[in-house]
Amino acid sequence: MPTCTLDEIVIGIVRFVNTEIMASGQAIAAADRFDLAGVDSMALLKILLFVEREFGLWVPEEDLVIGNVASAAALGGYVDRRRRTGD
Amino acid sequence: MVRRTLTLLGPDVMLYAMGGGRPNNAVLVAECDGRLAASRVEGALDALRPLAPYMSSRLERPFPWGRLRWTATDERPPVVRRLLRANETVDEVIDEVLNQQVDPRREPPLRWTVVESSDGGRSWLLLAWVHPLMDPRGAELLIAMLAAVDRGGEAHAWAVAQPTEAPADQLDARARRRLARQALDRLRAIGSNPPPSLGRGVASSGPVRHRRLVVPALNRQLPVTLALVGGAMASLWRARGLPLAQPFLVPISVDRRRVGEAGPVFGNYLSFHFARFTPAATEDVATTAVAIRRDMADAVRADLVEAVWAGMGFARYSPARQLLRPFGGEAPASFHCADTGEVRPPLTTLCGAAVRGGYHVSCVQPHPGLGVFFSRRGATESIVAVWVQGVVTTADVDHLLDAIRSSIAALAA
Repeated sequence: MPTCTLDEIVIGIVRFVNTEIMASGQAIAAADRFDLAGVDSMALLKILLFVEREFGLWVPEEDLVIGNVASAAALGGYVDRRRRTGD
Repeated sequence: MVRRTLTLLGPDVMLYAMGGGRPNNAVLVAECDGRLAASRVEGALDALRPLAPYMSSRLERPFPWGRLRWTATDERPPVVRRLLRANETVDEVIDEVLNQQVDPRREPPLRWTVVESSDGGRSWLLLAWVHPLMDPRGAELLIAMLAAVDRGGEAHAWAVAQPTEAPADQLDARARRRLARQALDRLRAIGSNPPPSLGRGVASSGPVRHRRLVVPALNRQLPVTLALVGGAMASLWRARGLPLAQPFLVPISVDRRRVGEAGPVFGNYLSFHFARFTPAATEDVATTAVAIRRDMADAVRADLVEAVWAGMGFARYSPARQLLRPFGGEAPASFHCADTGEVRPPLTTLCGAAVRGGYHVSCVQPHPGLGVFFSRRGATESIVAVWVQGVVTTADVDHLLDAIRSSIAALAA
């Protein structure tokens, strides 16, 4: 798993979402809620696959709760916690 | 009258030919309060037509075997006004529209029908199109453009949707070939263990019917939606005594547009993932949803969704060919499930009437088939089953919709 700070993780997720998921002119910020931005289950799946590819961890079913995947910031926080605990 | 060349995709020609020219319509229904002015619909269409010529995206796609020349008129699609007779329902009119023969070689591939209740208190705009012309999102955009033109003139159409056709595929030939091979490999793997048909003795053709179930808007998590339908299909499987250990395929349409992107009116941004359900493994919606999510993650991880999309455009539509091949001497059958999305909230008025709802009655290609389609408008979800009479019975469809209704109630509880 690459070494990076929480900020770098969140920035990476936001960059991915804004370049690969959202239409131009619809960019989101780190704290913006995915569901309110229109991110559907397929788009969320692509984000989770990006996290797997980039940070080397898969978000298991039991961790797919709103607190972990509500926004780029929340997801980044989850990735950072997993990274620190080495789960 | 201007005549122009309409190029249709190879698979469309093939499917049209295989269907013996049977109707292959899809319908978008906009429900309105009050009277819809048919003359305003016609006026808006006249203004809209030069802006969004209806076959544009189908004209320029090159194929390895060259172009297919079909001709189509450039005349305005007909707007038919229908007054509901006593004891007639709008569902019956929709079934009638579904079964109208439209031959895009000779006539516009769109039909507009304005249906009015006898007291003028309600009306419905039915937009029917020959299936290959556009996907459901395109139909929604077209109606939204029509409403915008009616409200504010031609310039307003572009506030709803900018392009009228999908941008050209940017992949080079090698990349497309690689993706097409992947798609074929996947389909061959699926085809090696084909799903059962819906049983022996099903009719190979018949009139298309539909039935609609209205429920409160659902959680739009696709795996949950699919699990609902998978469970209901398993229930139908059991009712028919079909083998529970044998999987059936559910082609899931996947919208390739980015979130918030309107996309083109005409053309196709949909790809497919072919999920496999074992009826015996669909007892529990949550478990099934987990399995589907895992299956879809594997498919995206392996580029299979992109591969199927490339395969459809490049490899002579092998997915349809695979689905069309007869299974074990029985009539070929298909089952579709699609989340056709949200009928646009900004659509509040339409040619003099207030829009109160909207839903899709999609076609069930290839025939014979059965499809379940979800579309949301505000707080309401429409679940529409479409089937070819003879493939399943009305009782089968009632059973299917009851099973979906029960699962939704259980989830809500």
